[in-house]
Amino acid sequence: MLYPYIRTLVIVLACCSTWAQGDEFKVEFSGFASLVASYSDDSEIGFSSNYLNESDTGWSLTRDSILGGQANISLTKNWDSVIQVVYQDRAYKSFDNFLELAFLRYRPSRDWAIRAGRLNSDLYLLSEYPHVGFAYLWTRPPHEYYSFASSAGNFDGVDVEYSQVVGEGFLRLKLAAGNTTAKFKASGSDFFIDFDNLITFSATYVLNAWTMRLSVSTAKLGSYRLESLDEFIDILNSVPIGVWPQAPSLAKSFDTRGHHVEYAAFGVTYDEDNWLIQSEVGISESAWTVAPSNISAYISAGYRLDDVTVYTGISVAENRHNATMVASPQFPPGTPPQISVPIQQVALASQYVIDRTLVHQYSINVGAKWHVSDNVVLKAQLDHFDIQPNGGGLWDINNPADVKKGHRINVFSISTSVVF
Amino acid sequence: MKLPHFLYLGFALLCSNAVSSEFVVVVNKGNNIEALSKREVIDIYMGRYMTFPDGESAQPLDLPAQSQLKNDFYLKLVNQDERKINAYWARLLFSGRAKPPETVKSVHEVLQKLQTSEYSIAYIPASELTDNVKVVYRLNEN
Repeated sequence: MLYPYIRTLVIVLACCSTWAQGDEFKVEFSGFASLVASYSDDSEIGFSSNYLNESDTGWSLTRDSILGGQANISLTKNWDSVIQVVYQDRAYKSFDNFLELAFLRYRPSRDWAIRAGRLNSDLYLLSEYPHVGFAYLWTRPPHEYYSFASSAGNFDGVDVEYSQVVGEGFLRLKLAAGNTTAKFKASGSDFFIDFDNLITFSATYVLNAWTMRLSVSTAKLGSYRLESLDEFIDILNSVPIGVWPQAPSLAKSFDTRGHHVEYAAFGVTYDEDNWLIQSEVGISESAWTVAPSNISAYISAGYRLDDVTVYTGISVAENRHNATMVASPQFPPGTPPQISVPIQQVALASQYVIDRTLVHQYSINVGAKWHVSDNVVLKAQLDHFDIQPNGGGLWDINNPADVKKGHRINVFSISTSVVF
Repeated sequence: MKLPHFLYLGFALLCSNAVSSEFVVVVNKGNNIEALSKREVIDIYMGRYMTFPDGESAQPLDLPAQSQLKNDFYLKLVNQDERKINAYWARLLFSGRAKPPETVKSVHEVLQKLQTSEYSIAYIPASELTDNVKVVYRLNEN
């Protein structure tokens, strides 16, 4: 879906550059980077900063490290373009998965802006710059809140923004429409999920030290690519309904098609004098088993002591609905084990997949951010995660026995972030 | 472009007597804008709007990083020190929203640039004001 936009963007940029007058056409390059060393003290369960990236156990230099480059292209008074490429440890490595921004923007007046191309989502307080460690407090955005958010962090489409002074503050409204494909790896295989007809509305209000954002979003789940899921759904659909009446509904719940995901989020930041306090809460609704309905929230408080800001925060993520319980298939007397055993294994596998995707965890962190210079910061952070039984959906758990157990995991991170 | 660190220190030392400077916000004499409110200056310097209120492009200029004048200006304008301003602009720049003001090396260079650039806007100490630029806002105003 991306390439038609890129082709259009290149053609428009080429045209614009020819009619842009003298000093109006300007290209400026900038960048950002974070080098992060982190250690997770559970040797069995992999940790990654978000769903799209590789997970690691123990020490890792690649888990959170990032290198980003950006070109700001001024075309005319009303037209400009931004292209941003971010290299990080994506599980599925392709240029498309590293391209964060590639849009053309038209500002018909000072209050309006229209963008088309690859755009960043406006869903969360950090969703426009989740990769720029220099710009926020932590070594990584709060795991409970931003881990899954990354899967729709950008999209291909159009957005329209209206800005206006309201009262003593500044209001920005944005309506966006497009689609995106989240590209993961599942058990070593490519796993793509299409989010079609993605529509997002956000309202951001800035008033002195306060920034507030409310956003709502809906997307239709399109097709997916994962061979093992195809086979699994085919098997469920082939089970005689008399033996296992639940099988067709399970098959439907595992298939992306026909499902929608709705999301609402509210965030607030208070940044005054020595205090920096930020909190967000998000609620998702989804009937797709692989991405069940969640509520997630965090609150973080930082206090500046000259060049060093010390901070702490708590986060939570959990499922909003009871997990589906898989009923055992009922076989007529005399059913040969060659038939009954595979079906029973499919039932067990269904319950495992359902339990594996559930999220229920809490965490607390403490850390410090040191402003070394006007473009370099150093950070150190310790996270303690408390993962409840059947709640490790944000973690890479390979041993089925570990899914049902609770886990307590500490992650220590030290990082340097720069902008240039 | 970033300046060598020793030049920052030099600027800081040169500007160390300017802690209590009164600032004026100035534009090219040919600019149609006669006056701006504090909010309109904030709108331009904090990247909310890319234009003056009359719709013409606004090209804000900044004094050098780590200079006392720059730090004082932002403290008086939005009650944020340079460290917060740097993080703020990192957010705006890399969200693709806006570009930070162009940094010039000195007040002298600001005055030179304002004479040739119709849409530039800058802040300077009132003590260094000349007849070649137009004052659109005094920072002690509300």
